[in-house]
Amino acid sequence: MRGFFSNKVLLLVLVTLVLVTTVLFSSLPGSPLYELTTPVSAAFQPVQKVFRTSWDSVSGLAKSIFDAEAVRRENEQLKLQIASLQNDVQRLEENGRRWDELKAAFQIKETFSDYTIVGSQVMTRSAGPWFDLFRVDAGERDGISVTDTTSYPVVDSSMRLVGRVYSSDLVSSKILPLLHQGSVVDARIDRPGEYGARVRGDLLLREQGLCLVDRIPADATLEVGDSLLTSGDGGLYPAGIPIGTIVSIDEGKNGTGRTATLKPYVDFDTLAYVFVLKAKPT
Amino acid sequence: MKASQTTRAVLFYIGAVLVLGILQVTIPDRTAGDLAKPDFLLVLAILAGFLYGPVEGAVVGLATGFFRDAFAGGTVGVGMLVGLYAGLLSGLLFQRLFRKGFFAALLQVLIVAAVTALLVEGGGILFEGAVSFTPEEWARAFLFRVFPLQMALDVGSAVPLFLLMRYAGPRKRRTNRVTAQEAAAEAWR
Repeated sequence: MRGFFSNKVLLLVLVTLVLVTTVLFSSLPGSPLYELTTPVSAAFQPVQKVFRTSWDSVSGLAKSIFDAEAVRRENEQLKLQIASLQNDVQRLEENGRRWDELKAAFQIKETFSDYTIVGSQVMTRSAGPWFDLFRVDAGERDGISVTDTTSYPVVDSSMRLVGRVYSSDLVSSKILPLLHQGSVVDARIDRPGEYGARVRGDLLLREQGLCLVDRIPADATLEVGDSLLTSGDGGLYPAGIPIGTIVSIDEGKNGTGRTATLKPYVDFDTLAYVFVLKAKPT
Repeated sequence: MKASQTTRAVLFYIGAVLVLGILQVTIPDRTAGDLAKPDFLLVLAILAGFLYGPVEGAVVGLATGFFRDAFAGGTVGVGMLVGLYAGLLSGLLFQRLFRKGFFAALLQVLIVAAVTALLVEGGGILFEGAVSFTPEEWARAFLFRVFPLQMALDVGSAVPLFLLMRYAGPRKRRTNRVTAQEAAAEAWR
């Protein structure tokens, strides 16, 4: 045995095989291997919170110092906007009254009324390419338990799509962001009578904070600036969650089909809190 | 290595992995130029391999990889594999050419970080299968844009880390220059 462990090449091969096996097993959805991270998550949660809070305080202070002039200019612009918005509010109040009447008439359900919303704080960000999932402080003890058939949509405080829960341990969960190349969302263009499309993460566009839109029907109208919402197909994401806006369209020369790039509404760099949507049992 | 030296090395690496790991996953993504952020954990593994040999590099790489997998990885094990081989490569590469000096360390960080980044990016393309971009688009967006900035950040973060490891690191200062070359030569025998 001693001879075996002194043979470093053999040991390296053995370690590599163990790691490759671990990778294969953990790539299965709901793999119990994710439980391995529970002790690490539990131990680091308080430390990470302190570190994160301190970092946010320091960076916030630095930002406020550097942004003072920009804030003054922004304040002037905002005053002008307020006047315009007050006008809009009056118009929207009237629209709201009409909406309530229509909702009662057609028995439309409230958005996400079939879901329990679990709020959680973003604990960690990405750790480089391929390691770009982020962790939040809600896990199995909050009822978030990912299996091979169960996952959960994740939205921000404005109910815009962030991604989905990739894995969970007792005290935390990892979130697969929209930008990740493993993310796929069935979407539709936010216009009456429009067709569906698919929004997915792309290795190259991810670097620019963009997603790819493909499977756009040939006869669908799509323009730069169009908004995309979740379509509700596929069963994971409820219909109507805003995803982002189209920033460019590729008409698909050489018969490759039309594609577009989408800028998600969510700013992943400043995301501090997210909300996990848990479907209520029917 | 004496027990006290081993203890010092273990304590240093535990502290370094924890502090750098937490820093890695706390600072905002795309810190510089809205494109990239320094990879402290990878640089630590590379410097451990460069300064103290392939075995130490591989072990530190494994530890940093576990941290990466636990906090930000999709599949457990990928980070450990990347760390293991980055540390090992750093410990083996150019052993006979480089002295263990400051600029050689930065050059080694540049070389190993570049190899690692290209392999990780290549792995990503391989697993993505049907990619939506041409090689020219990839070169424009990654190779000429993100990659150089990432390398600059990694080499930049290696400067304080090298000084820390050399003067307050896992070995006492006077033993560094002597043991580093010996460790590298003997460890992989």
